[in-house]
Amino acid sequence: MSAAFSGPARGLGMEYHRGLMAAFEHVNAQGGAGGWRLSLALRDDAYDPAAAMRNTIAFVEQDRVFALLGYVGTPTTARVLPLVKHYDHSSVSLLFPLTGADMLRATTNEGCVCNLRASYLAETRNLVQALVAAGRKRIAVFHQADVYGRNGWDGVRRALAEHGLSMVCEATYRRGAVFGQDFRREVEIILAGKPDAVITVGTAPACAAFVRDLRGAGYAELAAALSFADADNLIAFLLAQGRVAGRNYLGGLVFSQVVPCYEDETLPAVRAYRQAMSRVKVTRPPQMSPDEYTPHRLSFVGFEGFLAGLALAEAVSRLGPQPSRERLRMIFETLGAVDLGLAEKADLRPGPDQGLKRTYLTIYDSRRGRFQGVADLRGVLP
Amino acid sequence: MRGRLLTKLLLFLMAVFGVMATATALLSSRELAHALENEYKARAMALARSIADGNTELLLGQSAGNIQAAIDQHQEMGDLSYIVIVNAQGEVVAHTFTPVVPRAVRQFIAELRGRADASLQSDIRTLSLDDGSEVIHVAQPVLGGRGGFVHIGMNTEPIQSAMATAILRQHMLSLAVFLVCLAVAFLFIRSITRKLARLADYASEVAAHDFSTSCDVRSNDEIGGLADSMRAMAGQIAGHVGQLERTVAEATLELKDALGSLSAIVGNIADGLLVVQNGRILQYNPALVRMFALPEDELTGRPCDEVFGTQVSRAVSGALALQGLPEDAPGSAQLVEVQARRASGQEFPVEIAVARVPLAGGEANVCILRDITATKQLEYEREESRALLERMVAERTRELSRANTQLKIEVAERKVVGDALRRAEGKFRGIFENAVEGIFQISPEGRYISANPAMALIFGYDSPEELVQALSQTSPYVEPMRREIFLELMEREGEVQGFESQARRKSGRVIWISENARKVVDLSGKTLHYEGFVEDITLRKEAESRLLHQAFHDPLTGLPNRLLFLDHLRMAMERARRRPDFRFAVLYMDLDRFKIINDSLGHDIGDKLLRHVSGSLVACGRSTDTVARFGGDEFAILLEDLTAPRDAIRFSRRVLDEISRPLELDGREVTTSGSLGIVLHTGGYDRPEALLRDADTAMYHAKAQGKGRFKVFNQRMHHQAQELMELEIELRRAVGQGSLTLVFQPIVDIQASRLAGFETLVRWKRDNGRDIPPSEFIPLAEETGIIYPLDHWVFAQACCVAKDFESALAEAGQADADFVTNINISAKHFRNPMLVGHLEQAMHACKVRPSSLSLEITESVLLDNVHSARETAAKLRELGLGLCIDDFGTGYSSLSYIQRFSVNAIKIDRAFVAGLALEELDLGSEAIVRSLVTLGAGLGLKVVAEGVETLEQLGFLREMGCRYAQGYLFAMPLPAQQALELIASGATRRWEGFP
Repeated sequence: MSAAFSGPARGLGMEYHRGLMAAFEHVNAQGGAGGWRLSLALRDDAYDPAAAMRNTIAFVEQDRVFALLGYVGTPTTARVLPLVKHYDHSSVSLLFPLTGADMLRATTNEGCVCNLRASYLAETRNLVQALVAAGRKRIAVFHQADVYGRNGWDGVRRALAEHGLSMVCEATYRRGAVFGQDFRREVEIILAGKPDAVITVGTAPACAAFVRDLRGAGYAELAAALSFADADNLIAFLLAQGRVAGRNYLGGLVFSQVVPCYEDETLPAVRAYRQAMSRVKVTRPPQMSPDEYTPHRLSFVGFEGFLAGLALAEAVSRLGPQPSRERLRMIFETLGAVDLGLAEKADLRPGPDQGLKRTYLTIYDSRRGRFQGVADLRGVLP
Repeated sequence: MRGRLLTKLLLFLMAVFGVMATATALLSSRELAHALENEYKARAMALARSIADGNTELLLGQSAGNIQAAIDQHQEMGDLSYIVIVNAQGEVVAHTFTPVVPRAVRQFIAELRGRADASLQSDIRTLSLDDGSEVIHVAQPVLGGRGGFVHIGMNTEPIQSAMATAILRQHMLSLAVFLVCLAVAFLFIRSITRKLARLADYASEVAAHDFSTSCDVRSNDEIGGLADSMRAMAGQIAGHVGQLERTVAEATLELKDALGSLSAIVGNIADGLLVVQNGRILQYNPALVRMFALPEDELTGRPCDEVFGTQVSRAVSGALALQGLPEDAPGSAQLVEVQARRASGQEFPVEIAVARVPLAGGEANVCILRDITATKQLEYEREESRALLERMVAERTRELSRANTQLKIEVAERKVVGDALRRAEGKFRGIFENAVEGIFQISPEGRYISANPAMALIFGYDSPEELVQALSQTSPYVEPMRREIFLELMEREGEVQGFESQARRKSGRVIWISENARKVVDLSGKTLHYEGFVEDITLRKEAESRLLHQAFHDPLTGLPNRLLFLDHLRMAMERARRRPDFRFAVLYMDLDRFKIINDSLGHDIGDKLLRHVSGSLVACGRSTDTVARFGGDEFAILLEDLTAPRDAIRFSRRVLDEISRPLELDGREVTTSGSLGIVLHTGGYDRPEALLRDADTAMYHAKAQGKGRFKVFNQRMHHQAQELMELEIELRRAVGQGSLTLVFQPIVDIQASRLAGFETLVRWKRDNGRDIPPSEFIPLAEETGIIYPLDHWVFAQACCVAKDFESALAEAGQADADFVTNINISAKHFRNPMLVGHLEQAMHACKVRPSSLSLEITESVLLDNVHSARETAAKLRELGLGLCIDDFGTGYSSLSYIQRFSVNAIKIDRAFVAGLALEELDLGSEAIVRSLVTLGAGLGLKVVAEGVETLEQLGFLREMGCRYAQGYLFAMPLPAQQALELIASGATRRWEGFP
């Protein structure tokens, strides 16, 4: 697993890792997957594509890992992708990366990449549809100036085109922004288009900072963020800022998610996740925390990690006595739909229908201090 | 004025260079900027094209995310400040700006969309962005615009900064070159103007007639030429002026001299001088006044006749002399003799020379007047003496002719003597030339006067002349002061005998010579020279030194021997006495098991080993240390000038390590080790021998503790050694004086309760009254060799006592009883081939029956050298003597030996007997005793149990069937008298005292 364990985006790596480890410990505690114990090697890339590249080479050539699991971030995974193809002869698989980028779902990558989550195109499409349904037609996009941002931007653009609309304005920011960064100029650019909804495609600190400045500029319409914005960390920033500034930044803020809300205990997966997290021993990878980070007990990203861990265990349990990378690939091809305890089954076979398809919208209920799913955005106001 | 030329030239050069440098820098910076811009544009074009061509498929695809991934990678390469991708509809699909695409770029994109021809070729231009920076912007159509456009921007800031750097660098370079040229020009011009200035100075000095300075301007250019000619010119002028001044000065001086000398002459001549003009005195001198004894009045201007009288007056005025003379002879003097009169009236003859001289005031007469009274007198006397002389000459001529005749006779005689001398010299020269010894003559100052060919040969010269030539320059002696010693001896003694010294031959080789010389004096005893003989004694000297070396060195190893070592040691001791800080140590080493190596592998290997060991010792030591071999395998080492005692210890360790290393000699691996004794505290010794002895003692202690060790001598060892020595001396004396005593331990037949014999034991009471047990002095005796006389004495005594026992037995009517006297013989002694003879002699002397005697020996006797021991045993048995093995069972003897050695008795060791009848059962001893008894019975041997002390032991022995026993239970050892009494009491039949 190569992910950001340091730097501004470290929340994603930490949470995803916790979810994966919760699943691993859960599986290992029950005697492993088909008798195989699962273990995870870690390397920190700090959300830097070059570091991710180095880590991958080290994993494959030094550590000789069985599979690459749980890469976090679009630019990092996008950079690693040609390398994974280069290693195709040794049948290394890149499993369940935490990104919804388009290119990972391209047909040319079938076989060597296995996705669990829905794509950004799917996320933005659902989000735009919900916004348009709520009467919001002046949509602006604030996105990260890289592949991830462009994917989100492209998704919004395409979704709007389906409704015969186009985005009213757009602005970008550079990757690696921290919460302290000033986004008033970007807010000014965005507000020049007089939008009634702003979709942010970025990381938690950048989106949080942008929303802070957006609200600071008197914007009183909706704002939305994608799953990669790590809703739990984003609201942590805004709650802290809200306490300082004495106002509520969380109203009218919609989060698109690729997993259901972990507060919905009607789902078996949520129950399993909550149970596993109550027992989990690993709080965070200690050797990779140069920067302070307080993990959340539960989180969307963690839940996604937990689901990914379960999906892997499902595959591994079928490996049989002589596991090999080729065999793993073959299992994914023949596995069929896997029931992870969600409302829909996950089909992990290569192809356009791979992974989970549904996306979810959630808002933060400040009164109750928890997330809750939402279907109609009409009632959502700042 | 100085340097004005220099300043002008420099200013001119500065101006020219400055203009040139500025112009060059400006020009080149412009060209550089141009070139850079072109290069950047070309690079931008190339980049744009490569992005467009390399990603055509992506650009045509719908996924903006994929396009973004591609351009992100391109931008990361660094050169580009932005990339914008516009699709065929003119929409921006992807870009790398934050937060938005700048207006200028947007306008340009919009402009392209409007242009029809834009899609055919790439467009390049410079755009000014919102933030004020300038970029080179390239729009590259993809598939002729059907696939959209790739826009890239390249910041011009690197061009600007490169240009600025280049201009700056150019200016710096120009400035540097300019400064260097300026410096060179300054130096060059200054070198010229300085010379010119010096020349100008020089010229003005010459003009002021100052020739003291010279002009040092020298070069081979025009200035040099000018300076040369100026110098030549100045030299000539100086010459002329000097010549002129000298001539004037000389003339003036001459004139002054002439005048001075003239007036001196006039004043001092003895003759009177008078200048007369017109009959009046014009000038005169003091001599004239004296001659005429005139008063001291002024005479000038007075008339002549009034002062000198008429005669003289007339003479001086020329009246007398000039008569009859031609008038035209001015200057030529005329002589007249007249009678003059002094003022006192006395008359005297005077000779007057008159010369006429034209003077400024008219003609004058210069007259010289001479009083000729004395002359007249002299003339008369001379006539007289000439007559006398003529007479004397005639007489002398006669005498001379007589002497001449005498001389002729002498010459004839001397010729005869000379011939004889020449013959003698010829003879001696022959000897001199042909002698075998070198013969020489030297002056008392040590200079060689002559030498003969033999001497030249000795010193390796071709001829005596060459030798004399060479030796007069350098002394032949190696020792520089040797010549002075020789001369001093010569001068003091008058002769030198056997003066030996080292000399150098012509070839430089050093030889030994011996000189004999004596002094040769003349009749008055003055030293003429020394003459003497030289002999080459090099061969003799070499032989001497070889002998000396042999006398002090070990021939095998070449190491110093004991003599030389002791000498060195003595010197070291003396040095230590003089210098308290001087430390030294003496080590004594002995090789362990050397004798075995020597005996088993041969002397050849033994010698090689010794040589190897000596080599190791020398290698371990320093050059100041003395390593000596004392013969055999004994070495001694003297370590001098130690800083601390641990140096000696360290040396010892090294030596032992070195020696114990296995070594291959003649293909056999030999391992040895050494034992070292060290004496560190060397202060208390007077004699080197004592020091060596203590080192030896320490070495024996080391050996006793095991092989390959060293031991430092200490006071305890000293005492022990002393004690042992004293004991040895006393024991030797005791044996010599027979002051040992014999006692007799009864041996009883326990089955018949009777006395069956005695074991003879020796007792020694020291002078101090202490009883020394045999266990203490017997080993000492064995070690020191005293055992031989001791055993002899014991045997002889025992024989006599045994004879007494025989007689006593006969008296008691038991003459044929089973009765044996046992005598102990040392194992060492048993190997002595003379033993049998000695014993026979002793038995014969006392007339004792051999069958009544039995020799007790230990098991070890049988083990060492089995063959000879067996022979000895057989001989003893032939004599009729019994043989008994003492302490049987404690050694290692094989049972078969008992048979082979025809032993007839064994003694069970007291240790086994003591094990019998103990409260806690000792089954081992019991079994051994029982089996020994059985064995004895089986082999027909007498079995004697030693050390029986209790009745229980006796009971056991009896029960086992053992027949003989001895021990304190029966009796203590008895003196001879009591033993005899015991026999007389009939104990051999039945012993009353039997327990």
